[in-house]
Amino acid sequence: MPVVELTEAELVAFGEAFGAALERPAFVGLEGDLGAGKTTLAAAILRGAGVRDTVTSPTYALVHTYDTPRGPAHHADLYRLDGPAQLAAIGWDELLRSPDLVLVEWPERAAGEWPATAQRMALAHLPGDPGRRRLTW
Amino acid sequence: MVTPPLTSGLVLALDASGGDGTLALLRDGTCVADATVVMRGTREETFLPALLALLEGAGARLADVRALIVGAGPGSFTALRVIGATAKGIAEGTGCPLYAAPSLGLLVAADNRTHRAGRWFATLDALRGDRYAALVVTGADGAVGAVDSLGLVPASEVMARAAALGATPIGPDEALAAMPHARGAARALAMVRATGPVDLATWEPGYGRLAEAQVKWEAAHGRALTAPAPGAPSA
Repeated sequence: MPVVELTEAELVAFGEAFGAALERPAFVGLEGDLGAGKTTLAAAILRGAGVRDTVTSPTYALVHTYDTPRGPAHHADLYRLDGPAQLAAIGWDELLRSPDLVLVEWPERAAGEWPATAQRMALAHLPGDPGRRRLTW
Repeated sequence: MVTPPLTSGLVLALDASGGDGTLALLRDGTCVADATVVMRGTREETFLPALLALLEGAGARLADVRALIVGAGPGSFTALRVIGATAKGIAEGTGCPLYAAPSLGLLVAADNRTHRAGRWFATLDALRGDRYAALVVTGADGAVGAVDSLGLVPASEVMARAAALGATPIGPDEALAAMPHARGAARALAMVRATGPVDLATWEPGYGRLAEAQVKWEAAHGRALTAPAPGAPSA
């Protein structure tokens, strides 16, 4: 499993390139503690995928959908869900069947409902090095 | 991972060792499009749009790219790291193999005046009066056959060191002025493929010297800064 340590500029470059290269359908989970950089990485992936609107955290709206030249891109945040039983409220089944790009922060909240074939990335703080993050995928 | 021959299909080459981002699209081993993107001071957002525009201009998409070649340095620390991260992101998103090429080899190969058998003393400014240097050997067909890193060489010694090796100095500050460019990958394909694709988890550019931040950290702490092994538990 690749592990890289990246500055914010590198994380953004990686994310934009990854987003530009992703073929659809794509279902990607982004794990990491609060402040680890999940939304920064998600925003970079979405920009790379062609989103031109400003990407904001969907923590309260739960799902944001953006237009891209290659079709919709969905950005979900499961942080506020109390458990997998609430996934239906955000249209989880529709997201699973979507032919689009789907990015999901806090995928661990989906527990057993997370699709086994979906890609997951994890961001972690580096002790003593606030300028970089460890990215595992 | 199956490694496709680099002389067939589309290959995308990237390099930023000179500070600017350079791009080249190779089709069946021949450079069909290239670009140079100013990266300094623009937070690097111009590079990926330029890359996508290059592909679009050639009627191609990232999904059509069969392999990536990235300039491995030495050179500009930040630019090399950003380009390296970009290359890894594309490789991960497309699933295509990523190869690394010595940037001083790309410097020689990108220049038409070296398209013959020769020995070249390739240099790049390393600041503090030094040059990154490598001996680059080209064959009669102009292909880069070998790149031997010579590390840091005082700028004042370049002429003498080159003469001792029977090589012609070439670089941004030499009489034969040249800059590294990704299009040089077209003349280095056999050498690049022979080294095999890199491991995305462990590969990093070779900067040629320690980053300034690391030098200061080690001076302040009185010990070498060693990176933890990938996957090692945090302290």
